[in-house]
Amino acid sequence: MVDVETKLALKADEPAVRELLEEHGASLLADGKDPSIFWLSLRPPRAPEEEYVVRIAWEGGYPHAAPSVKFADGVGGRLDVSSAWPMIPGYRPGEHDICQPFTAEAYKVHPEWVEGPEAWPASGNPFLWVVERLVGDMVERYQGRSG
Amino acid sequence: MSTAEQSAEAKPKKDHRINVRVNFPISPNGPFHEKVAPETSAGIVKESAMSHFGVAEDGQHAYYLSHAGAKVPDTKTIGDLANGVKEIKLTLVKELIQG
Repeated sequence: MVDVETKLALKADEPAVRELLEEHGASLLADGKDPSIFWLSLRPPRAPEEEYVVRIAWEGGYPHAAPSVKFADGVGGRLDVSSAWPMIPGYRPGEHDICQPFTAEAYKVHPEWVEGPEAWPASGNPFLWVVERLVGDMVERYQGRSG
Repeated sequence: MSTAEQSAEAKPKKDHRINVRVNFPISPNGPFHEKVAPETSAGIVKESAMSHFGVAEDGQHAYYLSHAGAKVPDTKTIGDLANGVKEIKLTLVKELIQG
């Protein structure tokens, strides 16, 4: 059950995310069932023939907790397929997680990040921040598709 | 005063400065706006933006500007980035330096 604050805050911050994605020829789909889940379609500029689908799930509430970020084999698809993942430093296709301080999975692996300089930033538009990180990694640090 | 001088005086000087907007989505401060000369380096804009957002580099984090998702070297000029347009949007990115 998604709380009202999460719904309202996501509604407020989503347009800036869509604007960014349009600039990159990417797209954002809201999940038909759960308003805290979004599906993002991205193509690395170095390999535009490769499409990646990312599920961003604000399971802990928005904007107070980092989202679960996982690559899927399609919109609404499986989240445990290694070949759905790009090879990018800090992304772990074998573990199906991104070990960077903007995902719920990373904060589980690195509990020391929960407080201090890596703490989750709940101010501003963290949805845009997460998506900018994903887009930036695709542009700057993409190394190919995971096998 | 010559005619040429009179005509130069009458014409307002063209403003070649470029509108720069820097976003840092996780800041409560809102975007940083500045009008800069084309020869201004990205590093100078980055410093001003970081000051606006109240952040500073430390041993564990680095900050850089990105344009269309790509990292902008500090030495690049805003004029080169803008490539003829009068307004550009940049993003300040905080990067974790992992040991």
